Amino acid sequence: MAATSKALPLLQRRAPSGIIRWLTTTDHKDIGIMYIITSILFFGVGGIEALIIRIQLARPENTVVTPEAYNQIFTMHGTTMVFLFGMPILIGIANYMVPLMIGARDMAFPRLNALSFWTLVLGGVIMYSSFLLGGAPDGGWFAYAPLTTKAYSPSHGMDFWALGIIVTGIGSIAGAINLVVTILNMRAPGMTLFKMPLFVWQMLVTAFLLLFAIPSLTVDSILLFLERNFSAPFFAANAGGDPLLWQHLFWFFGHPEVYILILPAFGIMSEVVPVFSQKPIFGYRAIVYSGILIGFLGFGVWAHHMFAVGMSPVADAIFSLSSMLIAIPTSIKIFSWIGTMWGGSLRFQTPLLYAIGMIAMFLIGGLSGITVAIVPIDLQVTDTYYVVAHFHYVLFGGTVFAAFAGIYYWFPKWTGKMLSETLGKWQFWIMLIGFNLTFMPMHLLGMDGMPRRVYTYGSGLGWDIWNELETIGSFIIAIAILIFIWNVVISMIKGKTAGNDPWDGFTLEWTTSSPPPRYDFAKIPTVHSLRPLWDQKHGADGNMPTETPKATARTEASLRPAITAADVAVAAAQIHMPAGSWAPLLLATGITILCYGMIYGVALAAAGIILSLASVIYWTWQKV
Amino acid sequence: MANLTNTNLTSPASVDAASVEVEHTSMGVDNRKLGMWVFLASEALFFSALIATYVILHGRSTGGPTPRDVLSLPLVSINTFVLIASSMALVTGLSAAQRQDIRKAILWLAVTAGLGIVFLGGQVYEFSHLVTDKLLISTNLFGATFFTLTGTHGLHVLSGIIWLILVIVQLVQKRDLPHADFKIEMVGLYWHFVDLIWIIIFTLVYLLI
Amino acid sequence: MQETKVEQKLAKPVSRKTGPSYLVVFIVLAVLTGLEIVVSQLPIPRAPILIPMAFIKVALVALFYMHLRTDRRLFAMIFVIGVLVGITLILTFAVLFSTQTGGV
Repeated sequence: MAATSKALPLLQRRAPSGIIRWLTTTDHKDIGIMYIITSILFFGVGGIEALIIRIQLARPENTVVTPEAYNQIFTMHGTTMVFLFGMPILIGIANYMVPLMIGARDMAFPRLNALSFWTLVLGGVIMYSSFLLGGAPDGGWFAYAPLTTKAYSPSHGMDFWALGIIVTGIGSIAGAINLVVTILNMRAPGMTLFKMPLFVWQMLVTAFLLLFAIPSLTVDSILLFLERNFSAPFFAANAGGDPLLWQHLFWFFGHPEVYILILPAFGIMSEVVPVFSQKPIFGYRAIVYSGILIGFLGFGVWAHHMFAVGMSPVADAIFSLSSMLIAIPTSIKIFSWIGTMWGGSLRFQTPLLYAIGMIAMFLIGGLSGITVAIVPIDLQVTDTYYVVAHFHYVLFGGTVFAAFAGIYYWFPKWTGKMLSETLGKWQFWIMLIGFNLTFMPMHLLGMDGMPRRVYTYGSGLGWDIWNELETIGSFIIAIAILIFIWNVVISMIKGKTAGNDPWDGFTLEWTTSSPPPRYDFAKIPTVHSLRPLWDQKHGADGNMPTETPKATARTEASLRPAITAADVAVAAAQIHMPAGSWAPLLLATGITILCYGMIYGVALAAAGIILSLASVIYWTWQKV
Repeated sequence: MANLTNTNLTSPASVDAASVEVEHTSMGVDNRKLGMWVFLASEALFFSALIATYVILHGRSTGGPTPRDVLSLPLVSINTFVLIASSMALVTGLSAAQRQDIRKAILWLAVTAGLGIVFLGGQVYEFSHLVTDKLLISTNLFGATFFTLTGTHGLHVLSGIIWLILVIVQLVQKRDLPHADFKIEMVGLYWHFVDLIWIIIFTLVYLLI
Repeated sequence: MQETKVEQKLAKPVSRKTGPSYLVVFIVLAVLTGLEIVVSQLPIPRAPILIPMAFIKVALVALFYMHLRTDRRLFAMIFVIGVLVGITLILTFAVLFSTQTGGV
């Protein structure tokens, strides 16, 4: 808690309000909220793109959009969902929750944290501005060269893609550094590594995956940009270059990326399942170690995305084997959650519904994953809708379901209001039905040979009915998302007040108010167990609740004396929290202008460099 | 809740004279230094990917010039010595700051930055000669991978120089800057890392041709 | 308590002994560089000599100039993991791409 536990008799600078507060904030909670809102906005954009894809594919020989537009839309759908929704929503939740769960007052580097967020936003802006600047990226989200080289993708779209990826990558690295340092170094007294909540553990592994995987993608994007703009022949086979280099570098990032998207989801699951089973997690260490194992194995499987490109049989065999190995630590986690629910007194509230839905859907995705890890099967179904079905079951059924579990679970902490249970349950069931209707038939279509990324298909192939059902399913998902947004709006206006601890929770975030004060904790708690709050409420060996959840209010009251009103007053007056800063936003803007300069000329690039340098100087000398 | 004693490791980082006094952190180390090492671990991967690209592709050029045709070992050897010397200058500055001799520290940091500029100048000179020898980034795979790898390294040297200058200005502004040695150690970690990458580039690109 | 042991181990310095001075390290680095240049001109298989020499230099810089030798084990561990993943990347890629030139 460097510099935070010190009680400085500083004049408390008045926090700015309104838009300026949000632009300059360095509070991990504000940044977390902005991350979550931004990613949900991008989820909406990516979702609309998905709907356009589904409308185009609803009937054979459809011409709702042009083939060129179609390529741009499915490219941006994938890019958005992975880089602008999937990663940010998980990092956003982590940004808000990790300091609260480990008893810290902020992330280790508050301004760096803001920089991570702004690079994400502006990286998204760079990519999406391409729609207005001559055409969006159109080479697929994994941007295979030579399809993405100048000859086959002449617009600036792929340049914007490469630059946007580099810029969001800077943010991801900065965010990962912040997470690692915060988790390793800022835990409350008594919270040893093996007393950390499982979400924090999974985020720690995820942060290391980001650190080691993103650089490979950054290098790949740099190579692509140089090839497209300066004719460097990295991927040009006629000049001796190798298109496979793109794929290897991309998937060296791309497969760990899958775990970057799923491990935080596993973490959310490992928080939600025990709380709603009212039982400690089954196999805490098993989940920790399996998470670390997934992290390590995740770097040894990337080429299973490339069985069809003609690697040697030995390489195929090795990558096939290592891919199947990953199923072991993953199933350990699934068994842990089921073991936790077994014999627990389950409360079927929305977070648990999503968690159970996640287990079921992710399991289907995991099993189809094992099938495509088998080389002959992969050779048959690669680049078909079977693969599309597989990764949507893993990423939508896994990550998105878990993210919703997390949102329903922690929304009360973020806002002080409960989300409506009724609407939540409606949303869950509608989404579950829509999801399966959309993606289950894709297995069949894929095995029947329907290639992915095609603009349209002929009638009479037996694909019509499935495609039509999928399109209907995708609109059902859209309805579920609209219900969610309505739920958020209505709950913010007249939702039930949440109180500190609405779920009878286990971990430290429920000991502070909802939403927490700027300094999170008036007194930094001391931790003695895995479930500090639960043990305080129910006694160290109280596995079952001694009170019904309804009586939680009383439990809270009994907690109060630990933190008195005087403590809060002292905390508000004396805890020094870093002030806001313009530097992160300015630096991110400078980098962005530099990126546009890479395309539109030296003058703009110079302006970007000057602004970046100026903001670094401002950053260095600003007193926080 | 009353017990606020930290049962974790709270001993200040007395091991290393250069680190600032560390308050209650779980690992007993300074956040910034830990963050720096985490960043450098990530940078190691960044350069690994670039080096892998060079190793795989540079020999596959379909036309000249080859490394043997155009690279000048004497020039680069001098540059390598310059960079190693700059690392030496930096640690000398660090020692001075640890002895509270800020004037000497500033001097040695300036020497470090100066040597960095000499290195960059050498690289610019080398690049311009390669261009006159008809090696561009678009000429062949050697050109593409060579300029990408050494150019990226050069940009890192440039960032290091800017950081050094920022620290020097801070020290000049305020002679009794608290934790001056810590600031120097941080820029040092980055600088030595960039030096370390050059050692590998020197061997792979220039010696093993 | 096993867990605190892990943390104590990570917080320990790698070594407490005072090592050679910065100047000695610098001289060794300079001499090694000179030797490298000489070796690179000899008509012998150079990679098996030059690459270990580069690694020795890298280790010297990291251990002494970056103080890994006397600093916390945690730093060394994080950095070494990064370097090892990086070396794995380079070696695996080299293997993958060399078999492909063999026409597989």
